[in-house]
Amino acid sequence: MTRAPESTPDEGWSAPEHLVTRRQWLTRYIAIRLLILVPLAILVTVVAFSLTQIAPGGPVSAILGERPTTPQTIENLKVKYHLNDSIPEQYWRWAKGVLTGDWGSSIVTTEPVLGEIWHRAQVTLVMTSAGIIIALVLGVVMGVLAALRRGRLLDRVLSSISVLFLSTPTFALALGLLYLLGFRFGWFPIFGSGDWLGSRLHHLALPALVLGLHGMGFVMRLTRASMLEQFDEDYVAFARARGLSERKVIWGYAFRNALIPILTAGGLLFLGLLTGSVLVETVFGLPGLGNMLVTAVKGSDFPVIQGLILIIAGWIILVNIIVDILYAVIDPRVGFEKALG
Amino acid sequence: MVPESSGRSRGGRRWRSLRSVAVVGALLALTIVATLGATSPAGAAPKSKSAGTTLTWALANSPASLFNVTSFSTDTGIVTGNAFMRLLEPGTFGQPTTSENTAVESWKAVNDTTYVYKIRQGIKFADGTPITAADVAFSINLHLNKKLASLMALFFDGVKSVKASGNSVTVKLTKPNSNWPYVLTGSPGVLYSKADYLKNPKNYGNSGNIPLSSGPYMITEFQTGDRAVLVRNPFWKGKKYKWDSIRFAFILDPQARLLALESGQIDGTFAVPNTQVDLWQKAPNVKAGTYVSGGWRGFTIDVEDGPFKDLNVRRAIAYATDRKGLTQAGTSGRGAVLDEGLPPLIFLKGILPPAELKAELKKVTVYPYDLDKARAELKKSAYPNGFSTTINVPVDSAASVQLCQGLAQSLKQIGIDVKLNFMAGQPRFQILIDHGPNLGIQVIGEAPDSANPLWYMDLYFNSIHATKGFGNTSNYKNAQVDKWLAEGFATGDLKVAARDALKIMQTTSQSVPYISVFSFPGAWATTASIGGAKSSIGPFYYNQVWIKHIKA
Repeated sequence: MTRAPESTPDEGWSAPEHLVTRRQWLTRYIAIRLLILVPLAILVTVVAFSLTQIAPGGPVSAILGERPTTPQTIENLKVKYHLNDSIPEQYWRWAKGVLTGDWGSSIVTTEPVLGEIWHRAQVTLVMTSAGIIIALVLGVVMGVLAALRRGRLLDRVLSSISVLFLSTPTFALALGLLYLLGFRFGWFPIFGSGDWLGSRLHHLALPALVLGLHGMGFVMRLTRASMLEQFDEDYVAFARARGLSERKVIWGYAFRNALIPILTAGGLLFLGLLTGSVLVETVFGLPGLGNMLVTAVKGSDFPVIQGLILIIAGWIILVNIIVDILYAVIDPRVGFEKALG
Repeated sequence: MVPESSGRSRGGRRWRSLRSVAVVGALLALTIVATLGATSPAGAAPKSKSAGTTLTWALANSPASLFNVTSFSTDTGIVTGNAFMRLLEPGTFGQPTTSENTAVESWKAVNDTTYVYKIRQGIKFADGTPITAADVAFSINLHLNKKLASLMALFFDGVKSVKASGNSVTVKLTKPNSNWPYVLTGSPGVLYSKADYLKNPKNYGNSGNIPLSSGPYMITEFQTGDRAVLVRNPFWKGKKYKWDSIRFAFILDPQARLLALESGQIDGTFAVPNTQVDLWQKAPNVKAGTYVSGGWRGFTIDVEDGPFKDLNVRRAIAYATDRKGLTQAGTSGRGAVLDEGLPPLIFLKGILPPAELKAELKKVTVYPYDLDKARAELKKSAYPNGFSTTINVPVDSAASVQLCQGLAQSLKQIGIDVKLNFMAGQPRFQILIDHGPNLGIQVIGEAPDSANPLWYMDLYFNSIHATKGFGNTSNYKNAQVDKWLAEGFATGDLKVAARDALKIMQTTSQSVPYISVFSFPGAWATTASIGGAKSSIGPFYYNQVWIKHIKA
């Protein structure tokens, strides 16, 4: 958390008592949330592990890939991957490895899980983050503009655009933009994630645009509604009556207060786009986490499924913590005391 | 609520600082992640179209690894095909042959259970070390190592010993096996370096442990799900092909693959959906075609399960199967209707004289599509008014889905009500492996792994394979068929094996444990400038240096 005024003693300002307390509360809040992550992660992985074991099929049939086989080969595979051990034994072996930094290897590819997740996360993280930025920037700007022109032509046009992108399935949008911008205009590569920095950004631009446009509709509608709600508040009328410029009223007051639901949406969007990335990665042939998860689930590749679940659970909690912190930064009325009980 | 003026001032500054930090931080984080994620190894230079020396080839799926022993798939075969010598190579009909691409120069069967392979001299791995008989023996022995759990162990059942001596390798079998000569022509015959493997056997073949190549190209980069890059092997003494490097891209979506081909971002692919060949052929800048794949689809019927025990019921189903319609739907008319039973006939054609083959095939009982005959057969059965059954449909295979839907429609007309249980391919396959009771009707499809005419008959009709872990999902048991199978495998004379195969086709066709429907072609597509694939491409292209089949 940034507290700029406290670090500028030349202004003769020192941290008031209530702000120091607030910082302590915040630190405690983050620490507790991170601690909660541990039992939560254990619970999530136990559930996921059990589901993987209960689900029909199994890693052996995934490895064999519908090829003719013999009982001996099946037995050899079970011994190799300890599949004859009891479920608790298998889970304990995996959990012990995680605690010592060894997340195991994929049953199907033999790749170390952690290394593979790191490799794939780079693609998904860049794509999803860029998608979020596109969604937030376009969505917020369009939402504010629509609110300012409420009921007019611009509002209708922007609202229609948002509905269009919101209601178009991600894969259809991906294929459409792939055809138009990748194939017809040749502006973007059609597949792959690129080799070097420039190439990687070039390759991920179109998938990020797909995710961004899909999320933009949601952000735009939320921003519009939130801004309209703020415009009806007394403080906006009061600010205008005080003779403040319209720019100041909109961006300095109304927009700041409208940001809180948008922030919540941003957090949700980040997680939503992570899910949406599965289809986008498939269409664009990207080696991302979504793709990896689908392959692992199809192949009952439980070390990979477990690793991904841990990462995703951590990711979700982290995003929620960031959103909570940003709440407090944006709105000084928000406190952590209640959250901590 | 309007904040207090002093609070507004502090809050404003704080807000602006936060905003700046957030923006700069986000951009920095994205750049760092993108930079770390981007790789630029020597072999991964972006494709230069002007240089014209990189062939970019698309696969629908990534190989799980590059070690064929534990990754037995067509995709692994395609990536490794141009990078590894095989011990032997499949000929037009899959028969074992030798060439500059094989580590074996010549071979002979000393007797029914002993084979001696003479290793080519002067050939080297991609690091310059010589290829020896010890490497060949080691490569075969990998499949016998239980700890490795080779997915191809099935082919090595009955191998007693593999020993290197001088420049020869001797393989001894516990009993005669007419399939053995074929084994080393396929995926089980990939050559590995003993020294390279022993250096780091753990996770051999994954992205951090790429096997040492021995073919015209060597693998320099592999990232599961992302890419594989091959460059020329400097120690390759055989034919040099046009392209300096081959780059594999993994594009799951067929539409994205087609767009990539049309735009010239890839040069070709073997992953053309059978039902879309027409569409690909009409696409601008694309040349697409088909080849004989030896693959087929059909149904097994569990002869020990409820109504299917009744021969008249099975015959009724056979008559009600509209093979022509199903072939049209499942292959866009490009497949061939299979009336004769378990294929692939292509491998019989390579062994027996055409006249003899034709005469023997006439003795196979066929069931042309005829609903009246189907109804009549059902009337004669213990279920004259029909019955209900369920077929598990693997949704991953569009052709299987069409096949099951088509059969269900036909059977409804004769009074058999079929419920389709749609499920993912892998759990469906698990049901087959588990060999549970009441297997009923199962849709199956195969692409050949062996050109031996008895290979699939053994898997599907041998009594000992009607159990858990094996493929006789019909639970078909016939002592005479078992005898022919034993005789066919015991002989060194492939003509005897082929004749046994025909006798089995004639016998099994009468009791209908299996309904063949169609054989389907494989398909390829390249950019128009490459010009497509040569007619030499066949069912086992992925088990060899396939680049020789590409025009350019």
